[in-house]
Amino acid sequence: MSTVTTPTLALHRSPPSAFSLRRCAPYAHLFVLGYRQTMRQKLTTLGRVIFLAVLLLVFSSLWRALGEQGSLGGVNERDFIWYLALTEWTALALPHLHLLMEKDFRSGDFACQLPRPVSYVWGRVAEQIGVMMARMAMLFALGVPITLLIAGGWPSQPEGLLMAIPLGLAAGVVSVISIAWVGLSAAILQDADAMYWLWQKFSFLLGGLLVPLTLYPEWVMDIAKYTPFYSLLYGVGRQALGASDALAWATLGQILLWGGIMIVVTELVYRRVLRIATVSGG
Amino acid sequence: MSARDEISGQSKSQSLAVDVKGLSKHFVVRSRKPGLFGAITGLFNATTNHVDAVKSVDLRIERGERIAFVGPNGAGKSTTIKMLTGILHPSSGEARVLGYVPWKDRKELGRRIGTVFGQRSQLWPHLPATDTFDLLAKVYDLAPKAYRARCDQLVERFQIGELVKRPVRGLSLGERMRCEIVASLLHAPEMLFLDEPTIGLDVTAKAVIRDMVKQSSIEDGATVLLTSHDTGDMERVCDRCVVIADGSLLLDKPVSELRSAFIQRKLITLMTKDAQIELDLPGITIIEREPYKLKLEVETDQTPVEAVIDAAMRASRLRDLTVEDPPMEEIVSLIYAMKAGEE
Repeated sequence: MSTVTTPTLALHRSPPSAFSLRRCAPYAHLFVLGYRQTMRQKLTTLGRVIFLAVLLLVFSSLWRALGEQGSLGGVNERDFIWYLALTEWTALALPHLHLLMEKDFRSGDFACQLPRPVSYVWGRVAEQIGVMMARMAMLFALGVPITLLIAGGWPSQPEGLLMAIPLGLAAGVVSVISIAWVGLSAAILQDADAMYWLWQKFSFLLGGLLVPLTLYPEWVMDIAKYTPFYSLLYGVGRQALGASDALAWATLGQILLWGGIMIVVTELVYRRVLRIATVSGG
Repeated sequence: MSARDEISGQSKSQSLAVDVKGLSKHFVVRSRKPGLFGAITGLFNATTNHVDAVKSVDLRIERGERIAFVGPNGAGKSTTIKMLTGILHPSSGEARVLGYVPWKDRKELGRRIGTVFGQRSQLWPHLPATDTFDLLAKVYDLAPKAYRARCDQLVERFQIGELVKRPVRGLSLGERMRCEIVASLLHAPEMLFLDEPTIGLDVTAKAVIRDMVKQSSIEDGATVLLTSHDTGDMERVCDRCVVIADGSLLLDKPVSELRSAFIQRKLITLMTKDAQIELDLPGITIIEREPYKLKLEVETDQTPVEAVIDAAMRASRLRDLTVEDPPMEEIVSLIYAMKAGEE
């Protein structure tokens, strides 16, 4: 820090302490703005709801056909449909943060935001968590009656749905943070698409987006357990398959653990990106 | 005491807003041959070129000064501003802005400066500008009551009372730019960096923005560093002009001196009711004549612009009228020619 006398402005409040909640105020406000902006884009969310309905219709027919042949491993098809509804609820609510960041890098907007006394990456994450929450709220409000209609009733242990709500929200937050470092990679690789493609496909495959991991070969499930996707998607979906409270809490613990890892990875990648941008101009 | 001092409750502690010595920036640019073969060989054997964007710039700006930092496209204006705001690290040299080393103290400096990058928006497109203002109040940690008073004052000063309630995407470029400037002034910055604030605006919107920026800077006592390749921005907002070309400073003079030395010529386009008009005035060259249209080059030291317009209005009724400054490229060429003559 260079030597300087800093006058205190009446307009400016005295600096907050290290652990003051005031430090989080800009991020909380960005979250609210993201939420409000998405709530205004109801048509876009309606498109996602229609997609969810079509997907559930197609797969409910498939599960019923497989159920009649006894190929669902002892699970009833209604639970399968609710499983799919939960995993899709989590996946469809995710914002395309990587594209936003890629655009910021390409257009130079990233550099122009640096003089502001807030972190670019955590600002974007907060804003996009707001976007995700708005989508989750709307998808849940419309998705539950649609799933109820298509599945023909509640899952065999409906209380699992209640536990799925906090798990889905936590998984969504961690997923947004994961997409943030995927987006930051655009500053290094010039393009975030390739990295996102990998992330998304592994997420769908190892998270069991369409098919519960219990139907996978054992060795695939063993691999999946060591990836974040296991708890971020399958962990949420399996609440419809009769997961116990203990399993739900364990899933929450795994999600929080991966959240911590993703925060560290994102911050490290961001520091690297900052070094590149401030030396080479981005 | 300026508005800024009233806000701060303290007098200025340092007289220099910007102190730059030998500031340079070069970029390493990778290039490869075109086509698939070039792409493959480029992976193993990329050619690198050094581009000197800014070459050993020295600059001192007193607090409260309004400086035009002008030059043609690619001259190094934006790169210099990026170094002074901490966005870019220099390759060599020293700089202090409001006492801070920008690239070391970017966040601290960020609280005390305002930035407007003409082609970038800090406003949320789908929401009214007030939402972004409220966000910035949190970003700069402004006291709620003082922020509300400051916001009301700026909204009134920039006459955007109705505009701030509408979603930003529905505003014209000129209206949006007024909101952008208010957004950058909310935290009462001690220094304002304006990078091409009038780019893409029509003549009226440019005039409004220029007047408001100047007025605001006078009332707040803020230092202004304005980059532009529009000589009008320089003439109407600033007191001093620094000209940069090819990364080096060419000239540093008061605007009045620069005007008398290099900006004596104006281009006037007259759209007339009559098909042909004749103007017999000294220092006038007709550069384009069409039915109902006349484009003139005027040496303002021989005939002022008002005299030309007077004469044109006596000769015919005018349907439209534009007065343009000579392009920055022409002024830079004149400065080069003058320097060559001196040497």
